Amino acid sequence: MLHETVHGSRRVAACSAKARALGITVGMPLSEAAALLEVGDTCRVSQVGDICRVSSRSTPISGSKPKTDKSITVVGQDCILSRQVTNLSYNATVDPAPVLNQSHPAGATHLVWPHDPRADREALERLAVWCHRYSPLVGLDDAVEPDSLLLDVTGVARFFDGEEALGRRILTQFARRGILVRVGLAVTIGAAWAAARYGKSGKQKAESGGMQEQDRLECRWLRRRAVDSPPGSRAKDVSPSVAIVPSDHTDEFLAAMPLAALRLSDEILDLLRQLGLQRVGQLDRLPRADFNARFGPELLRRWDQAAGRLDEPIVALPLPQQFEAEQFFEHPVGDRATLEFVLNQLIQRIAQMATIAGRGALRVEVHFDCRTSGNLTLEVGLFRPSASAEHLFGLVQMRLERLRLPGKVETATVRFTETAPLERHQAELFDSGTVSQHSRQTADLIDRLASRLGRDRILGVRLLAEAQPERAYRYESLVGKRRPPRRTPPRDLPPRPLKLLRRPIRLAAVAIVPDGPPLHFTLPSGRQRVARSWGPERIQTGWWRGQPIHRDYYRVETTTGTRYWLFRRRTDGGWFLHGVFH
Amino acid sequence: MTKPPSSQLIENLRRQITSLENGRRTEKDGVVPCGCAELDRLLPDGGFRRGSLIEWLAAEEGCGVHSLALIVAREACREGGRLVVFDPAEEFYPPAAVRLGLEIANLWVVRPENQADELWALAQVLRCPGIAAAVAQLDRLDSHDFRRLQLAAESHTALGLLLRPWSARKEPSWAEVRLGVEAVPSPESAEVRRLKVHLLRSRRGAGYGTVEVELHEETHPVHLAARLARPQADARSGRAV
Repeated sequence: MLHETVHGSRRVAACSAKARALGITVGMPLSEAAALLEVGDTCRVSQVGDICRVSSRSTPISGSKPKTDKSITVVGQDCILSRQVTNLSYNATVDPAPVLNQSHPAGATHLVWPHDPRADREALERLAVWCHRYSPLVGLDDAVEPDSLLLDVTGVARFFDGEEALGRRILTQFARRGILVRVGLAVTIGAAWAAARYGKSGKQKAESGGMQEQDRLECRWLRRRAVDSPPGSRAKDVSPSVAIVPSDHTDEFLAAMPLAALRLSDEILDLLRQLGLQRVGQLDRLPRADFNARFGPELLRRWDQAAGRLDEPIVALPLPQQFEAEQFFEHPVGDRATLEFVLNQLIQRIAQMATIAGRGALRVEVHFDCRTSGNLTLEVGLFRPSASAEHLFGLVQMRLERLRLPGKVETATVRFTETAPLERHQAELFDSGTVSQHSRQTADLIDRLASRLGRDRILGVRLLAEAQPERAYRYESLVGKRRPPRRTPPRDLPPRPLKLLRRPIRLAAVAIVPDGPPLHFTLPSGRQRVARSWGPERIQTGWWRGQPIHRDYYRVETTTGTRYWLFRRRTDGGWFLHGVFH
Repeated sequence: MTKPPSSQLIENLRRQITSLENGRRTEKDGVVPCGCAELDRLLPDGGFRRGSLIEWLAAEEGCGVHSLALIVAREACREGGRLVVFDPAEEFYPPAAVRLGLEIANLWVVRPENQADELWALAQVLRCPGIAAAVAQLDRLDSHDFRRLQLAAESHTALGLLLRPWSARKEPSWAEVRLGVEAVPSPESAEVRRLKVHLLRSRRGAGYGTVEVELHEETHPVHLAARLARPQADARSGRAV
C-alpha cells in the first residue's frame, strides 16, 4: 500500500490485493486506511514524490529501465509506508526498494525503482519530439519536475478534422504507446492545464468552432499523481478524455475550477483553504490589490496567466535535425547492383548533409518498401560517429549481402536514426598522424565486426561492485550509442576463474567435514582428488534480488595441479562446479 | 661498378634468408618480453615477436594456459593498443582478466556465432593496427585458415595467441612458436601456481626446451616468475614439426 499527501490531505494512491481484502480502496483518506490497518496515525509522510502504477502493457517511464510484463511501481525517495515499515524512522537515506519489496513478500508482483526525475524528464522530452506530428511548437510545462506536454495547435486542428478529433487521435496514438493521457484544450496554457486535470470530457464545449486563434493544447501525462485531486473536485475516473474550453467561456470555466487548477504551490493552497476558499471564482470577491501582500506574487500571476490577462509563452523544444533520403522507383527494382548504386547515392547525399551540420551517424537505418511482398529494414550501428559515405556504404553493403530481399523494391529510404557531433582533432605540425589513424582504423574494425557479426557480439566490459560472480560485470555494446565515461573498477578483486560456466554443473563430491572443502569430486573426464583448497568464500544475496543464492565457494587444486572453482549450496549441501582456472 | 666487400655480401645474404624465413616481418615489429626471464630465454627472439601467431597447447583443462596467454597479452598491451578476446562459448569471465592486470577499458570481447565468423573476425582483428593482441580458443583449425591467420598477423603488429587442445600437437602449424603448458602441483607454502611450459616447435629452429614458471596469484596484478628449473636446451636442433 502506498500513501500520498496531496495539498495537505493524505490519501491512498495504490494498494495491494491484500490491502484491498482489508477494505482499503484507492482514494480513501489515509486516516481511514490507517485505522483499518490498525497502525494509528503514525503514518507520517513528509513529502510525496511521484507514485505511479503502470499496467503490464505500459512501457516504463525511463528508457533505461527494463521492459517487463510485471506491474511496475515507481516511488519517490521518501514517500513510502506500509504496515510492515511504519515503525521505521524513515528518511531519504533509506533505499526504498528493499523496503517496498518487503511490504510485498511475494516480491514477484512488483518491481521497484527509485524515482529518477532526470530520466522522467528525458522520457518526456522524447515524447515531446514525437508530438511534433501534431504541432510545430511543443514544450514542457514550467514545473520543476514537468509532467505535461504543451502543444500550440493554433490553426492546426483543421488538418485533423477539428479539435475534438485531434484530441481523440492524440489519446489513441498515446494509448498505442501504452501511455494514458488526458487532453485539455483552451486559449491559455493555464486553462488547458486546468481542463486536462479537472475538466470533464467534452462538457465545456458549449458551442463549436470558437477557437480559431491561440489555442493551447495540453496533454497531461497521467502516469503521475493519479489520484491527487481533492474529493469531489474532479471526475473520479481517470479514463482518457478530451476536455475542450471554448475561447469565450474561459472565465466561466475557470470560475468553477478548484483552486488547485491554478498551478499553485501547496503553501498558498493551504492558506486559501484556511480562508475558506475553494473555487477560483471566489477569488473575484477578494480585493485584488491585496493579493500580492497576502499571498505573494504567485497567485496573481497564475490566475492572470490562466485567464489570459498575462501572456505565457510555450518554451519550444527544438526538433532534432533529420537526415533522411528516399528514392522512389517507377518500376520496382529487384537487381542488387542497381539497388546498391542507388543506396550509395542516397548515403552520399545524407552524408553531405550531415557533414555540413557537423554530425556523424551512429546508427543508420535502411528501409526497402516492397509493397506486394513486405518490407525489409536493416540497421547498422557504428562505434564512432562517421559521415564518410564510403565507410557507411561499405557497412550497409556488408549487411545487405547477407540478407534476402522479400521482393522487388518500390521505395528505398536511408535514415540516420542516431547522430552525434563529429570528432575533430587539431593536426599537429610534426604529427605523423599515426595515433589518429590507428584509432580511426580501430573504429572501422569495430564497425565491420558489428556489421557482420551483429551489434551484440562485439562488446566492451564494465565491472560492477557486486558480490555475486555472475553479476560482477556487464557487457556493453560498443556501437550505436554514445558511451558515458567509465567508472573506475574496484581495485581489490578476489581470485576468480577465467572460465565461468554459464550454469553451474552439479557434481558428485565428498567432503570429510560437513562444512569443509571437498576431498574428491567427479568430472566428466574422471575422478579428481583434491590436494589443496582455499575457502570457503561465502557469497549470498538477498531474496529481493530475484533468485537468492547461498553458496560457499572453494578454490581447489587437484593432485595433478589443475584448479577449479566449486561451491556448496548451503540450502541443500549439493556441490557444483562453477568455474575453471584455465 | 664496384663489388661490395665479401663480408657485406654475406651479411646481405643472411638478411635475405632471414627475411625469407620470417615472411613479411620487419625488424621494427619488436619483441614482447613476457616478464619472466627464464621463459623469454627459452624463446628464439628472447620474447614473443609482434606480428606473429603463438600456439598454446593445453595439456588438460584447468592447467592455467589461458592465464599465461593473457599475461603475455597484458605485456603486449603495455605500449598501447587493445586486447580482443574471442569467446564463442560465452564463458570468459572479465573480472578474472582484470585481476591478471589487464586494463578493462582496453578489453573487447567478441562472441561469434560460428567458427567461420570467428576466423573471419580474427583475421580482421589481426590486420588492424590499433590491436595489440588477440586471444582465441581454436580447437579445430584447417591449414589454409591457419595460413590466412598467419598472413593477417604478419601484416601488422598484433600478437595472435591461439589456445589449442593437446591433440593439435601433431598437426602442421603456421605459428611462430608452439608452446605446451601443463599444470604442476603447487608447493604447500604459498599461494603460488606452478606451470610447466614446453617449447614444442619454433619456426626459427631454436630447439626444444622446458621451463617451470610460477604465477603469484596473491599479488595484484598476478606476477609471473621462473622457478628453480633452468631451461633444458635440447641438443637437437631444427624444426620440431
